[in-house]
Amino acid sequence: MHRLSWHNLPLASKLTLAITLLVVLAVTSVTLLAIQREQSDFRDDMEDEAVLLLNILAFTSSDAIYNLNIDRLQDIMEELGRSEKVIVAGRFYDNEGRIIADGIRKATTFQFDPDPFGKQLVNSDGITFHWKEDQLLAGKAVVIQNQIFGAVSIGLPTAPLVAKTETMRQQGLAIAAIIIIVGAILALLISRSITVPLSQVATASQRIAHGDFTQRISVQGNDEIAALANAFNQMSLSLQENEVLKQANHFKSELISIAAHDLKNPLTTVIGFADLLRDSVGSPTEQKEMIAHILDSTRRMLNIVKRLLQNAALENGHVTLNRAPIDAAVLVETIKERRELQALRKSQQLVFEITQNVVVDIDEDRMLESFDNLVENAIKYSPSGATINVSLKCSEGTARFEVRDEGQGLSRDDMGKIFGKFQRLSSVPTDGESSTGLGLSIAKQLVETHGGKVFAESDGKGRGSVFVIELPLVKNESSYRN
Amino acid sequence: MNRTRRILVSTLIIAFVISGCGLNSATPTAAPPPTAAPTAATKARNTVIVLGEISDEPSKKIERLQPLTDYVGKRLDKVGITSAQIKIAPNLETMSRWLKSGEVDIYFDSPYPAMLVNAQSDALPILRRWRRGEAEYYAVIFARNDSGVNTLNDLKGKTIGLQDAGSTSGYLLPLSLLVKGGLKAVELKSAEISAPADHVGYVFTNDDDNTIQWVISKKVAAGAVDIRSYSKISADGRSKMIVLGESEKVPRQVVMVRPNIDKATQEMIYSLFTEMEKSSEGQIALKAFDETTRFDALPVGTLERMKELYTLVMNR
Repeated sequence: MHRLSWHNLPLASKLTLAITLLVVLAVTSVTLLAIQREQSDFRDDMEDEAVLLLNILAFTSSDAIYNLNIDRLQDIMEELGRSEKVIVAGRFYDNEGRIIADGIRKATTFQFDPDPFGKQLVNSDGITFHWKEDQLLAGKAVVIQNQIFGAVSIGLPTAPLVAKTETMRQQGLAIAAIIIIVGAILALLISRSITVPLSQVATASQRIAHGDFTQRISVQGNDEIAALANAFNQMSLSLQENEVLKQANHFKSELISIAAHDLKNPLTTVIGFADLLRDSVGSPTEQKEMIAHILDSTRRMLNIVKRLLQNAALENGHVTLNRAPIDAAVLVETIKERRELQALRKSQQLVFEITQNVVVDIDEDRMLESFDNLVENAIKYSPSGATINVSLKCSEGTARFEVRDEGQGLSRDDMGKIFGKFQRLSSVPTDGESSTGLGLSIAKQLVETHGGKVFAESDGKGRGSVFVIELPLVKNESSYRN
Repeated sequence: MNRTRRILVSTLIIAFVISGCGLNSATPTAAPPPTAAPTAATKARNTVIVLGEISDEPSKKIERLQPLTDYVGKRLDKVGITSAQIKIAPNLETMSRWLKSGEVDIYFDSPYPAMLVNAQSDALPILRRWRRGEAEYYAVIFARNDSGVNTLNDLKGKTIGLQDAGSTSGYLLPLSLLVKGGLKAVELKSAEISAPADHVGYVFTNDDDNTIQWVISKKVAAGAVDIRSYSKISADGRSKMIVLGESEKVPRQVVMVRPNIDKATQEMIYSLFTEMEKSSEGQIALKAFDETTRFDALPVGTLERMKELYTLVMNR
């Protein structure tokens, strides 16, 4: 189990946490600054209010302060006390700072010693503010024509400021919480928009590493991630193209190898017998046999070359089909005539079950090659004395050409590559016949070019096999060629 | 502060300034009593008795006097009186005129103004009014003990604060004390005016509390107030004061009735007032009336002594 640490976290989590943290920091800072600013504004407002009140109070009470008219000053304090929601404290001071009327005590208590704040006021110019927990204490000297009469101070309750600050704090926190939640969701979405394509790139890269060059990433938008996806897709395409080139190169190598191998023996035969004929070796009968060997080898080489060319044409898409409706039974009858002798040579029995009027739209020559390839393979790979069943049937709009042998069967591995080019299977021709390794591949491409399909079935090694070609039937059979 | 609140506050302050709380507000004239005061003729017919006081705060006085008025109004039916009313006069002259004309039947005041009203109206002093448990009181002349004034004689060339010219303890008693001490006193219009070197100057502070504050704030060298007001200064404060002199004691207050009041009514009033402290209703009325304790017989010679002191002061 991984220890939980920053390095072990997924990139999406890191990005989400980082962006969320930034949002939290930003929102918290902005909220605190806003609250601080509002609080400062409110404090300024309170001080403005205090200045206003003090100026009025100083003006109206200046004579009473000068005359130390306690009764009058107490009356003023009493009036101020009635508006205690606005003013919670009020004091008048004599010219040495003694309290001469006190709105808090609301009774005359004679003070002999100057009050520290009162003393500060009578010795100060302008307004003096003292911010206390529960009130703003503000005061000023009462000065008439440069003569200090005394001073006045008031206390404004800070409860509204506290309440407003608390309200602002709660509202700010609520808004901040909402913004943070939204920010976190956005952070998650943003991080996913980055990490999901990266994960796709990683997954696709792994698949490419395993040889699957068809991997592509869907490209959305026009940002850096999209650029990365595009670059990846281009890389993947290049790799795929390289792979194709590689395969082509491999094919060429195989081709050369096949040509070198499969053409070597017949050429050797041709050269050998040709040398003997040039030197007039052997009797005329023997020379005729030599010529027959030369012709046979030459046909084999021709056959190899034709198939290579045919495969190359199919690979390059240069095959032009000359299609026409035709009864497939004709093709099967042709094969029957062509391959009966070959089967007979291996003491094999070819059993044909041919349904007539199986009209398909095909290139007769090319499809004949395909049908014939299946029968030829059955003969090649079946042992001597085996029975090979060849049938042509109709089923649900499909012509089904089936070749069933009692040969060596197909392993699971064989089934996966039987229609590939130059594939070496577990089975080999039973009488040393040659094989280009291209027959089934060509047959498959031709059938599929015709819109049909070809497949093989086998119950396993040693249990024989079935090769099937299915082609779509022509619905209107009136114009087919018999 | 929002604009609305600021305007509200400003309006509040300005409102109370305009309403008369400012220093420059004029001395209140006598506000009309809550119920119209009857003339002498109608009063006789309507059998209403009227209680009167002098004050520049009529509403406050009426509030305090109303329980006593109600008490009296319900208990003089034996002399044909079925109700009582209050009348507040702005000054001595008005009260004297009302007593003389019969518009006011009973008048309450301290001995000195009572003597003056008696001189102007022939109203009759019949009772002594106790306040806060005191039958008598006296004036003290005091100064800060750091003022350099230690005796009455040290007041020469200095100024003393007195309440006003109609006050017993804040004018007559301390002034008589100075005169008896061989000092010459002269009224000054302002505390800023220096007293002649051989005289004691005096200025009016309009209130005993003001007098005390003026001394504390060194606006005047000394002040004179009644002993109860002086006692309001804390013990610590008093330790920083020096008492320069104490006056003789005089009755706390005097109750007078209008001249020509019939004998039966006068006796009935005397009886009613002196018995008041014995009933719970009476005690409530007494308490409401500026913490009156009781009424009893006025010591003989009270007004005569006031006249002697007045003469002493006037002839200084």
